[in-house]
Amino acid sequence: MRRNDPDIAEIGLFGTPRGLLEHRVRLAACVLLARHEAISFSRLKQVLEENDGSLGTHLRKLEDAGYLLVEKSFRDRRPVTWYQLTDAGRKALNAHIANLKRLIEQIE
Amino acid sequence: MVNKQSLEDDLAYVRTAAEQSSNVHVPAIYLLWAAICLCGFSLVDIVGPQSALIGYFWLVATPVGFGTTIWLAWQARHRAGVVDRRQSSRWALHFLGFVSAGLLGIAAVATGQLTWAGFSSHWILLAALTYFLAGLHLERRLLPVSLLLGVGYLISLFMTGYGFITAGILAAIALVTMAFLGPRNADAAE
Repeated sequence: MRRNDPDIAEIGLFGTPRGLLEHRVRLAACVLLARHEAISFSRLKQVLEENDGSLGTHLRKLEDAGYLLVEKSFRDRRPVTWYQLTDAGRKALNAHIANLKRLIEQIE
Repeated sequence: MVNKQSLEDDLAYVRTAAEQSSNVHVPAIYLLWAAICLCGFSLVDIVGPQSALIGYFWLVATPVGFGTTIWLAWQARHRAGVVDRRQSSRWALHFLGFVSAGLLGIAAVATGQLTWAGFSSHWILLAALTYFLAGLHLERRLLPVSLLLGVGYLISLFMTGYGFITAGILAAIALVTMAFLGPRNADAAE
């Protein structure tokens, strides 16, 4: 993972590499992938209401961190990019959710 | 410093996305089972509850319908860009339970504890219960179908002559309505 990524380093809410999941698009992408086995890029784009460039950047960050597995296939001669959550991604997501719960309790 | 409002907004965004992600509606499946229910239930009134034709119909229609449903759902999920074998198995096991319970009901007829007419009514009751549980645990939209099937069960008990045809029509109306009321899926497998 690129620790000097300003998007990750600046937030650092929990002071851990899990800062990567503090962006709502990346968090939502991981939550969706935890619920389903695999989701295509287009479906993620549709559900998360993001444009190609922005979503691509977020997903690349998660992929670089080893949280996502990417697989390319073809359907009706058109390329389809499928994303899956890795064990490391699931672990990071669970830890992030646990941290969020603690944080919410503190706020309340 | 954590901004409470921004945290709430983020969580609402994630929740909405999670809710939308599993919406894959396949009208063809509803239409298929509407046709099967209409023909299968109506047969009881048309050829009589003792006729072997009813058994043959369900013996063929159930596995064919089941297989076609799995194929249609698989196609739709891939087109929509969501693969979820766990969810698909849950659906398959749910309706497999219904088929198994229905087939085990034949034992009650074989041992003389139930007439063929009674068995046909119980088949509708089982279908109502199956759709009710599916509505409760899998897809909320199926609850009205279970309600109409429940009414169909009562009609099949008390209305002689056209009870099963009426039950079949009610089930078909409910399923066709569900087919056209569902959300439209955009092709998202790119």
